[in-house]
Amino acid sequence: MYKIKFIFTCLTLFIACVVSGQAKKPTLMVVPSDAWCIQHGYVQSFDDQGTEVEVPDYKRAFQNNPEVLQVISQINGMMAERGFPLKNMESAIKTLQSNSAEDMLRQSKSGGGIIESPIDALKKAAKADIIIQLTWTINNVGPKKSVNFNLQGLDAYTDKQIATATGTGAPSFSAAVPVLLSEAVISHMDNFTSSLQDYFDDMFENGREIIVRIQTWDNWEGDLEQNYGGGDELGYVIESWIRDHSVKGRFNTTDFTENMMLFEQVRIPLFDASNHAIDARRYLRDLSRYLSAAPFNIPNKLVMKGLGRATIILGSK
Amino acid sequence: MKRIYFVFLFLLVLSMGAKVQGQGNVVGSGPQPDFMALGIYIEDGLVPMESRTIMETKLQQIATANGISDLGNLSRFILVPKISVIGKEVLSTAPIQVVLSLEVTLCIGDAQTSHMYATKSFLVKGVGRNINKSYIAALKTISPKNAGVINFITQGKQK
Repeated sequence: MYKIKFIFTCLTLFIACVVSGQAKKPTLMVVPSDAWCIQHGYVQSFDDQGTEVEVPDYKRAFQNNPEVLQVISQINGMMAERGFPLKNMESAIKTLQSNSAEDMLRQSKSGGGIIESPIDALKKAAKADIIIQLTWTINNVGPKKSVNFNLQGLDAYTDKQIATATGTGAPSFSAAVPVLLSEAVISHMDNFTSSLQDYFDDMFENGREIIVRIQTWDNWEGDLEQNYGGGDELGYVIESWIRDHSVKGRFNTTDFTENMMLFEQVRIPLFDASNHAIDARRYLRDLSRYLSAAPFNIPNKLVMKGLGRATIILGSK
Repeated sequence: MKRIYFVFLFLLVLSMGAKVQGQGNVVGSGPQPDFMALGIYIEDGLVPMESRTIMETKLQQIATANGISDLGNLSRFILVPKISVIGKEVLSTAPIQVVLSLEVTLCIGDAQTSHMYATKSFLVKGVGRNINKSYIAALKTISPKNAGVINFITQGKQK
């Protein structure tokens, strides 16, 4: 009887550890590159206060070019086979539109609608933590066709290229573009996924790499060069906090003025003291509380962008 | 004959009533400023066509929330908006997002003498999937019950 109880307790503890101990995994999404969209005319032109800008129109590319669907589907399939399930960009765009329509129609029993600030509206875009940018061009040599491709895995927050695969497939007389691309990519895919795996392994070993920004509201009377409670300047206080709370003290102070600070390559632990998975927002929540308390007493607002980017704006909520 | 006489009399009474109301638009004579009717004038091309209606509606709301708005085009006292694009960003997200920051300046003026009595500027921001939707989103945030706007209309009428 005691043996059964012991086994049951061990099993429960194991399940609890597994459930609470899972790190927040980055999401991945394949996106046709800007160069491909511009080359094939899937762009919208805007007058940006005197400058003509061309912006890729992904929705039109997905709707009008069956090739892009097949190519992305091939890449998604290959990545899923290797244990990296991806978000599908086309579905993400459709979900956003459907959510937007639902929000527009939703009404409370007392007649209220869903509130949405310009920032909320801006956040309604297809997002992933790692963007896999794909460019391909078709070479025609006589009746033969071959494909050049470039696959780049980019960290959406640090802008670092974390994996790459480029190459040219073998020429063929009859194969369709997705097949040619699949043949060309397949030999490089293992290297690509291996680089991605290295990135994840590094994250588990040295912590997640994030970007931290400190900004100030324009109606705040203080600044980052001010001293609080007879201590150091506020900017240096924040820098010391980041140093003390990053994994192995690893971070870079990229910019530092009286109004703003930018920290890059900040390595944060994947779990907090209670073994709960954390991201950039959860990590900076402690700094936000630290600055709100005495001797600083600075009200501040903590805003986030995905797993790997968070900003504290000093002076007000 | 009696009917024609009655219609004539009715029209005469109506026209006299209209004349009395018209005199209310002259500063310093007739009714109090509270009864002064403000017309709306929006310059062509000030905002995209799709957002013009919302601009008109907002201005009428501002005028009526603080007095009377005149729907005709012949008002002497008019409420005129000016819009400056302070910032514009086009983001290559999926879907495309256009971010607009607009400075809206409202002016109360006299169309006959070209005098301007009051101005009020404020910032509005909007995000949309194209420029028209961004304008609509930004203009939607103009609040007729904003204390600054109410103050501006009151000051303009008093002058």
